[in-house]
Amino acid sequence: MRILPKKYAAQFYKNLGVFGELHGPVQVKPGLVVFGPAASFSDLALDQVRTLLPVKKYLFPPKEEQYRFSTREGFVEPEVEEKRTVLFGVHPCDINAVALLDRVTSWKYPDPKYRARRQRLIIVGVDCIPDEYCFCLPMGSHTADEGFDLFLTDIGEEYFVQVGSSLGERMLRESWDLVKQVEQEHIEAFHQRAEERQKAFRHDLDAHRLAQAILVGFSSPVWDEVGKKCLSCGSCAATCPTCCCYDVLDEVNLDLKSGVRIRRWDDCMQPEFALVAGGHNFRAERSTRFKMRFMHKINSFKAEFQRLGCVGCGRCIAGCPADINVIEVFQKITGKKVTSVAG
Amino acid sequence: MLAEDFAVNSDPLKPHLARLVHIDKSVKDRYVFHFRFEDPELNESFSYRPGQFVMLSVLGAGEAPISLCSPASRRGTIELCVNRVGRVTNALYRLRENDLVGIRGPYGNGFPVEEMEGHDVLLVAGGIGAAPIRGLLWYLLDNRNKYGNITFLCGSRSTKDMLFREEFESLLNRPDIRCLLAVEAVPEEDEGKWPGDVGMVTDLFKYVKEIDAERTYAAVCGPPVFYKFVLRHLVDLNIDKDRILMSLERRMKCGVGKCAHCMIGDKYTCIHGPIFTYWDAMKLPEMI
Repeated sequence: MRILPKKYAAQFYKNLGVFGELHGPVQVKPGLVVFGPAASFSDLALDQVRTLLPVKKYLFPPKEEQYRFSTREGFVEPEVEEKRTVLFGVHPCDINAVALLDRVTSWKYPDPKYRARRQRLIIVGVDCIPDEYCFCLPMGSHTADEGFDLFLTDIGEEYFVQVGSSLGERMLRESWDLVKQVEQEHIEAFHQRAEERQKAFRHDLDAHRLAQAILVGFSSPVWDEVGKKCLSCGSCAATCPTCCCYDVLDEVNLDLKSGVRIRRWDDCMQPEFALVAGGHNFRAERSTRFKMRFMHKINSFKAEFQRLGCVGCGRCIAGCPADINVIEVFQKITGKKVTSVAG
Repeated sequence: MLAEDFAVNSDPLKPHLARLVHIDKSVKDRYVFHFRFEDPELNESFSYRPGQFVMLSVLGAGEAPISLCSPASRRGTIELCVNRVGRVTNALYRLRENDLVGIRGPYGNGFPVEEMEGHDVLLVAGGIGAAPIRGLLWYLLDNRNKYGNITFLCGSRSTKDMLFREEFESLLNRPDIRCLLAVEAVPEEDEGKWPGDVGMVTDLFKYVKEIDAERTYAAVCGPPVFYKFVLRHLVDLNIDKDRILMSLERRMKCGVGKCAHCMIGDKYTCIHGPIFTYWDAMKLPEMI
């Protein structure tokens, strides 16, 4: 742990460039922040709560070549890019989401493409103050305990820097002249900041009851209510930091003997997601698809990874064109009072 | 990265080239395709459990999960009985002997054959469901001394639609298995030649009154409507729901617990299945 005075933040950021291409949240137009290349500290939009797409776009691209195939050579992996990226300004919810993706992709059968990209992604976390869509506190992901190399907490005139990996330690050494020792006052400021963040959360949710509530409320009218509003557009899944369902398709070259196998994002809100050859659709209703999405995130993640698959980042609420609010859905399904949310 | 990742090396998503060596065209649109891996070492080492499946790639058309119907106890050739029903399977039907495909696997849990040892086994197959059941059937027969009484019930629409008909008919006279076959219709050319019953597969339950439910496992596979009636008979026979095993199918894109297409409730068909107990099925919503 070290203390980084904010006046040195720009230099500190520049020094991180030694370890990889610098990326962070950048504002591309009013109201739209995305993770992208950011050469200098002043390019970063650190005061913004959420980016359009989460960190997963670096680890699991929307569309990628999985294999090249031909009858002569069979299936061959495409070349791997060696480039490293330093992603700066990742919030705790997103870091927790990456830690979850790490688990999903190494569960039973590890995904080598994800793992290769993960090893080349350096994560520098920065804390944040929640807005009306944030519910990471009740989901237990308002702090990051793993999944980052460095983590910066804003304690006023300084950042409180935590180290999460040995690479993180090397990164800190690179800026050793900019940082100073942690004193008792910094630890107090750290806790004060934590209190301040905690007070900013507006929603009352009992996440620990969700799995049971979904099973008990399997026939609840809540699902139909949401199903009627849902447009099956899939924006919730695309912007979700833990959604990683995918589709695979083959594209054939003009010689008709070779081609590429493409893997691309898919989402469970699409009508054909559970459609099998022969025409039977196991989830033809929008309400069942919506419910399935949460059975996966809540019940399945809890069973397999002992954590819930929703980190409360609020992207699905912010991006939903039908104004479906998952906080409201969670509150209703657990029989709690609905706290109104703007939007 | 997690420490448990250190042990990992091979790519589970990469298919291996396999050659189509034979096509058994006995039943229209339900051919049995025989494959051998191009890599002789892999061909030798490829082993699986009854009830497991592979992901079959028809180059350019895509990939589909297909259950293994060859006996896991006999290595060398992989047999897949494929219903001609979708994009990938239609493309497969356009292939000829000696053409190449991609195969990866085996995936899924398979039947709990170790747990079943010392028990009687009642196998019930309907239509295309005969494919995974056949794999289990031969596994049991190849390890005959490990299992008690084996009863096999198989039904199909007509004699022309019965998968592995010759093979199953040859079991009718085998003393160490009770084989009961039924077809709903016998076409003219088969009149007088059909040694089995005429009727539904469920009609065959009239022959299986005397079972020791306490020590019986049932393994069933068939179309959705088949489960509805067969499960009722099995419950009437007093077989514990934990010992009624069923093979399910879902859309799959990965086969390895990632793409999430095959999820039923909180379970992945590719990881927790495709063999589920009736108890699982009752707990899981939208199972059948």
